[in-house]
Amino acid sequence: MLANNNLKICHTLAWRDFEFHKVKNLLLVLAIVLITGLYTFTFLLGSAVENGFLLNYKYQYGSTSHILYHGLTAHQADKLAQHPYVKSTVRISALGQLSDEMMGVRSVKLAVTDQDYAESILSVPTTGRLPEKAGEIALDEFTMDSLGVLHELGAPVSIQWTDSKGGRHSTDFTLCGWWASPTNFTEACAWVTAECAAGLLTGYPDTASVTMGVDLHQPKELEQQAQQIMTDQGVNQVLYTTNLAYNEARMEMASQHATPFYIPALVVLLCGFLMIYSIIHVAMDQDSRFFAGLKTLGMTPRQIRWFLLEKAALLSLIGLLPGWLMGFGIQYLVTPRIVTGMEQNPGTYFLSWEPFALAALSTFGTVLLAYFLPAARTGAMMPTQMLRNLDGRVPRGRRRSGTGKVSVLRLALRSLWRNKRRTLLSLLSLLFSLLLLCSTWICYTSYDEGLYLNGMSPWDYTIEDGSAASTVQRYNPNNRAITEQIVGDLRGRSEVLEVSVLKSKEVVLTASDELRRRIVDFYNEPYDETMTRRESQAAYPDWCAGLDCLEQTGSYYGIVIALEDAYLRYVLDNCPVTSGDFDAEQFADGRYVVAAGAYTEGVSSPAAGETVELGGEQLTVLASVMGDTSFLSGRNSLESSFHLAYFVPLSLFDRLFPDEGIRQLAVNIDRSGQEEFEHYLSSYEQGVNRGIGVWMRSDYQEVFQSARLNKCLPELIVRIVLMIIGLLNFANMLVTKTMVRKKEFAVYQSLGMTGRQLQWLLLTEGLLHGTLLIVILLPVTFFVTWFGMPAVFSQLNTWCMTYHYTLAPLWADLLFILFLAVAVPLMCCRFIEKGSITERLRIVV
Amino acid sequence: MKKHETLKTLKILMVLAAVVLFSLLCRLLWVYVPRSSVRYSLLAVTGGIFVLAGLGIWFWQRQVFHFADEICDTLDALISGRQPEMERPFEDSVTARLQGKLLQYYDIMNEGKVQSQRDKQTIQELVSDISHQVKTPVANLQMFTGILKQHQLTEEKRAEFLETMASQINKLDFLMQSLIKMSRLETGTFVLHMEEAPLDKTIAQAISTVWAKADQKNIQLSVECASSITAQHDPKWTAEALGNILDNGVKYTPEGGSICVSVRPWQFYTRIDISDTGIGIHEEHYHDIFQRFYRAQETAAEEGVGLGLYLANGIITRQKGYISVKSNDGEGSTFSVYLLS
Amino acid sequence: MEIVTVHQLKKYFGKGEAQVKALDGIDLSIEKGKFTAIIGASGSGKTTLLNMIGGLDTPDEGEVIVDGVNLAGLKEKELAVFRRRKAGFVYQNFNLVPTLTVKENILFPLSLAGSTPDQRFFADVMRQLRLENRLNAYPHELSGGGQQRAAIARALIARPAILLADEPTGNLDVKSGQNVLGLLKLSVETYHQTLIMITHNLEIAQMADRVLRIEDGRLKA
Repeated sequence: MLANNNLKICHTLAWRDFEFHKVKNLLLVLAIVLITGLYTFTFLLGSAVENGFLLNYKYQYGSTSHILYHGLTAHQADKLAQHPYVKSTVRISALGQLSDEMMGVRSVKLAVTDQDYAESILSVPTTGRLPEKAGEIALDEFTMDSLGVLHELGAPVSIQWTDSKGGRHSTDFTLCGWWASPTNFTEACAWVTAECAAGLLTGYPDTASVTMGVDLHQPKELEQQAQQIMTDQGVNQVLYTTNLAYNEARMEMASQHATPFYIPALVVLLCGFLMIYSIIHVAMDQDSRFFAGLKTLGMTPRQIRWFLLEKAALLSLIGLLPGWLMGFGIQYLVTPRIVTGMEQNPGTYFLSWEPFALAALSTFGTVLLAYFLPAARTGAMMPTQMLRNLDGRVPRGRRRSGTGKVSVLRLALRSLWRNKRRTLLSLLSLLFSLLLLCSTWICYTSYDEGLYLNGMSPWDYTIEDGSAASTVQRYNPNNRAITEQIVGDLRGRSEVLEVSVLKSKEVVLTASDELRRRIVDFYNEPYDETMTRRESQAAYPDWCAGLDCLEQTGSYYGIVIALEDAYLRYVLDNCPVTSGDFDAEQFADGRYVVAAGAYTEGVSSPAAGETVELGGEQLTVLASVMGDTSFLSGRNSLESSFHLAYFVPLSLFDRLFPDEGIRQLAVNIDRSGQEEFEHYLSSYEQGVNRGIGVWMRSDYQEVFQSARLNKCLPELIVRIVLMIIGLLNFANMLVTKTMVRKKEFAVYQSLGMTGRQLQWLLLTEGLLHGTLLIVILLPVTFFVTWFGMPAVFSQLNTWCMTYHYTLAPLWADLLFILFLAVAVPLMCCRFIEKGSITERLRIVV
Repeated sequence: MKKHETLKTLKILMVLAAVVLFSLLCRLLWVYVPRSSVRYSLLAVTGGIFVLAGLGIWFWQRQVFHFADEICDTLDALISGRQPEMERPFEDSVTARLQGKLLQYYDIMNEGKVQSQRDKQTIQELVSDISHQVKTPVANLQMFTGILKQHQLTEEKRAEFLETMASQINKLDFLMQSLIKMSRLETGTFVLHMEEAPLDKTIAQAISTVWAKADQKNIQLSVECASSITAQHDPKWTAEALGNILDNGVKYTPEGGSICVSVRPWQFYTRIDISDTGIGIHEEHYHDIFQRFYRAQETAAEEGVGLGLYLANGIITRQKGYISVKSNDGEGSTFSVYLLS
Repeated sequence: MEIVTVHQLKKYFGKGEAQVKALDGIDLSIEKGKFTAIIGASGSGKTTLLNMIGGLDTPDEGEVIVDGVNLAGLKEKELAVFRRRKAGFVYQNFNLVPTLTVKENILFPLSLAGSTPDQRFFADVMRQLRLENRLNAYPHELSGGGQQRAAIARALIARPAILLADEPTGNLDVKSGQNVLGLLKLSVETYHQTLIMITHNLEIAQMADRVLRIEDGRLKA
């Protein structure tokens, strides 16, 4: 069968509809803009969050390359690069390692500038530039701090370094640029020019060791691919690392983190459908008549479907661009508050076309659904049947008034009962959005500042070493930014009540067979139904490597933490004892350590009574606890991802490891002197150039405020917009209910109703509708939230919340409804009274 | 012919182009795509697209053939005068659309045949009508002629018979004239000369034919017509039609009554109302009075054959106008003649 | 030759006690090329009968055969095609598509069928119905009579087998009613159409070749 090409007329009809029903279509477009905006916002935010996590993993790994091969010769590097799996490579040839004592455990390569590689490890100077002349060098801020280099261009830099053969060199450079790199712990480079390198190292570049970053065609199962590439190309005994961001467990984690941000899309779908459906439904009678007429003239169901499709597409298309812009706008403002810790604005950095396309598709789907669901019902109906359905919906005369007297109130009441479905739809969409908004608002107000502050900062101020000032930095004990003098100064201030010192040290220990078995067994126990504890940590390969090392060799990392006053109290309060008895006095004695493991049940550390050798001394374990070390600033080394923590008193620590720097201080003050003290602290912070981090109580307050907002912001925005659509819909319902009866009002007026009476009638109708909504919304919202929210709340499981019941959005909403109920009828009045009565009487509906 | 050859060359060129393109693709694949799996899958995908396109063309061609077949079937049926068999005549397809059009054409063509048959029948009916109507006066004439021939009659009697015979001849003449007009009307052999002409003259001419009769019955005749009003009509025949209606009015209006003719120009039609104060027509007979040889029971007393209004209606209809009637029983009736302005 | 044959047509509305017999066994055949008027009081089932003939409604019992096709065997989408090809409707309230111009409205049945108009025929009909000057106006810019003439033109343009008119002059004053009616009759005669018209006005019915009277869902001789 050759199908008939007769859809062109549908096109004309769809376009003309816009010219003829401007108000309705404008409203629809507005709703679609809002819905597209919400979709765009949700999808953009979701993808930004997901990408943010992945980027964070890349930061942790230190490079954006999929695989890094270390210590290659140029020849080996060439070979590897030719493998078919490899998409692209970046490489540097390192002259050697910086070997200044001040560098501590950080490994920084002295390497020849390579723009691509610098980009791949996010080490491009943000101040100044990459070196272009011999004798210039570019460094990252941490290295500069470690070396004590002044933060100004052209500053002299003196560097000691070791080449790959072990030869030691010392060279002077001038500083030409620096950057604040978040990737300071594994891959950091000091950039010099090639000519400079040739002058420094004889035989360069042949003798230099090459580090190559490889991007693969298919970034999956990186370990296997890395091995495969090496065996295929016959390159053996080369060290390589794979990017954390492509670890499958990590990727899953990122998408899991992002899932809650995608969920509002479902709400948008549901509400969006409801809104558009009800806007369309308002003009349903008119449309039905229209379609019945078209069918009479021989329009096939296929043509009607096509007409609807074109209309939906057209509406969506018009709403698309403004919707996208709106979504992007909201996202641009909101994302930086949610995805933090980036140099660039995450609102623009993660921008890609997919969320936009997805939003467009979702909007189109929603609109189509709203258009087709009612059409499916009438599609197979005969035209007369459709018209009969309309006429059949005459209000049943239940309460025909006996007196036959008609008052304005009675007339208005009549209209209230007319088109109940329409009223119901508008009511439902309002109720739905209102409930959502109320629940979000209750959550928002339930975040408890006091709880948060007590939890996050058990003491008023934390002062930390510069190398441990952020959670991604690794603490460098050699930084020594906090000196004894600072401690003394602080203690000397009148408003300071207490200053507690915390020091820490990473040591390599050997576990006894018993301990080794205990720990391995512990982690082989089931975590939940699906996996063991060990498997639950798959996203942390370094941790797994540490545990493997313990299992095979018995050696593991221990972190010895010296506690004093406030810190000790915190541990006593927050770390449940798993064996032995944690007695503060005995602990202070200096002969005991407290071992910290994971989890409250089961011992995953040396148990009470056992001994451990620290700093050459045999110490008895006083107790084992579940180690909560969240008060530690900064991060420990990657190798020590798997570690056991040992708490010791400060005196013992100083005896075991003399000359260790102070990692952080906890300061409690008399609150009345807060302002003065904070002023002192900030001026102090600016005065020292060694870099210390200060966390003030007010910082935490600020963090809380923004964290609370961030937590609820996406939901809040979505729900507020839905609320707006719901209110729009209510207004639309009022307008249509009135405008459709233009002829009826003309009849009233021809029978002697004055303009004032008509106004009064409309106003009464509006108010009745408003009252009806309020009468239903108020109790329903109240009961649902009153009984429902505590249940929802108990599921939330957030430690810093106390339930706080409020109905603020409801009140605001009711105000709006009342306003609309008065304003809309008064506005309609003007349109209704256009034209003479006889003109209006002749309107053919 | 030339076109056919160009098409042929084009076809060969297309095949050549396909071969060249395909070999080019293969070469590109083998030179620039190192991984053999990728190479083969690309080839397979391209091949798939080719096959699909071929299938599409094949399917389309089949549809075209099917289309042609169905149309041919329909045409065959129509040629041999059968009703064509169609599976789904009201499918929304090109075939059904074309078949519908063909049938419509066939029907219209057929219409001519049916029409001539109908004409034949009409003539037959006419002949029988005429013979029926003519029978009585002819029989009368025969009878009187016989009497006149056979008997010796007084001069007085003879004059009386001759008078009766003359009236019969007059009636016969009137009948024949009406029948001739009617037959010309029915068979469509008369020619109307439509022109934009002033209506007042036409009406005056119509009135002149009934003037004497009306005067006799003391019926007042009045005309309301501005001289500027014109309408598309044939003055001679329209006067005849109006005359018939007026004659009818005069006939059924009792003595001392009145007949009024008024003209109103409308947007598309010019309306000529002819109102009398006669016996009127019952609502149920509105439709019947324009039928051939219809005579109402109440009018049996009056002479007439029931052709006047039939003729008038025929004449007006052929001028793309129409007649309607409205009447209150016993109070008179109004005939409205609508002529295209 | 019969164009429409109706056999024992029955249609009920409502259920149980409230059931109304809109049509109660109608037998009828209408000849091609004739003008048939259906008269009867309102509520006697005239419109229902007309809707059945036009394929706008399905009968509960009996059958409708139009131009040799039994409508009972057609699905809704085929009925749609039937309506635009075989039937032309003229309504009391004109039923013009408000969003289309007069010309588009008139050509609508053709557009729906996907065919192009016969320009000469179109011009002819326009001249006949005096619509030449208003082709680009929208329906609401026309007078009632003008709208009805457009509706008649629309019904004629596809040269349907039957023209169905439901009180075409019901919404018009007498003058434009007579004007429209004359043009309708004229067009029907010019283009050899079969016209079935509902009216309750005997004055109008007198113009028909045949008058059918319906009372309480039955045909009265």
